[in-house]
Amino acid sequence: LIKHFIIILLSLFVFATSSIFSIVAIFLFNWANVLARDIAVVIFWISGFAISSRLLWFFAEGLKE
Amino acid sequence: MNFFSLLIVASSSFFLSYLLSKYFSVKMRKMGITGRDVHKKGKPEVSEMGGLSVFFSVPALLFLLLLLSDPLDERVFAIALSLVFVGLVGILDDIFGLNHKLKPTLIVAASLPLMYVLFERTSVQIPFAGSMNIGLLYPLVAVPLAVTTSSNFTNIFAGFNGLESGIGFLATSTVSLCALLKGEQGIAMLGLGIAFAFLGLMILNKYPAKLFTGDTGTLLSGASIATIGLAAGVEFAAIVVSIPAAIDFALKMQNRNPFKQRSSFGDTRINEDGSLSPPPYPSLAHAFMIVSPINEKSLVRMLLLTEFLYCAVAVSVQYFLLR
Repeated sequence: LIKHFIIILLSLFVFATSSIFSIVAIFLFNWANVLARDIAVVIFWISGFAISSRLLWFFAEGLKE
Repeated sequence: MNFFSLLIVASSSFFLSYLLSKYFSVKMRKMGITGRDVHKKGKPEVSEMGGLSVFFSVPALLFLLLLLSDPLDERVFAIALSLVFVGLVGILDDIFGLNHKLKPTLIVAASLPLMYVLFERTSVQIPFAGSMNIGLLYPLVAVPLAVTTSSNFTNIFAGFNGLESGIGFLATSTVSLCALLKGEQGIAMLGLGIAFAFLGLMILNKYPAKLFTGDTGTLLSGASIATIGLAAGVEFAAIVVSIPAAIDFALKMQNRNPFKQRSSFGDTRINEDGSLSPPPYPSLAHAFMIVSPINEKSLVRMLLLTEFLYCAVAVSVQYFLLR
């Protein structure tokens, strides 16, 4: 059961990571115009999502019995 | 809107959907519209197209809202119309099996009523980033893209007893609650009515299922999340409640043949103790299966718990950061 809860926590980690990525984009592209910053936020969010969902599977395989 | 109207909408939608589900569970079997429950020993035949009970609840809800409310917002009509069109696409998919290109195209066409009523809208509210102005891209690209993506996410994140109807109930009620927090009462009423229609369907769809939702149900579930989220301007909440399905989609896309995994690797196998062994490709459900033995009932509970936590995040973000 604990391992199943770890997967739930890892799936919440996907949202947390992609949100952190987009917040980083807001600070990194603070100098740019609004459109460029918004595009950067979306790209960073999707990148964070793809990386962390891959990590979720990587950790799940590590926990395999 | 008062509590009494909300109670009437929720209870009538729930009972109508439940009675329709009971009817369809018998009728579909007689008509031979059934599917194999591959996660049970003996793979029993189960009636298909249970999503029809939600499909027929939508016009009934609209009629009820016309009786209960003052002049209804045009966005409520647009949501209902788009959902009816998406439901028709689901029916065609269940009967004829639409291909992976035609289905999204038809769903884009189904979102036309919503594109029309949201034509003046140009911005999305994002926490910390504030208002994101995307101009004409909102009605012309974001609306059809959101409806198609959300519908296909929920269509893919399915296949276990009670999962589809449970996700439909949790996600739609959460987005409707966020709409209510934003003061969009008409949209929230329709949304909560649809959520309770999914709950009525869940009684027959839960483990052990007597009725599958079919593509009619899964497409309607995703379309409900997107249309209510867009129409009420709670897009971020709609995105957050879709994340478990999006994780599942992202994992499945990492495979070489993303749309042919079942034909390439086969179905999940059932072990002697009732636990499930997944085929060798990544998905969110498979992540639960590989870490420790789990049966179908517990797996659905875990997936619904994940969805519930995301729903809690969506309501919290809407309440504390976007109100």
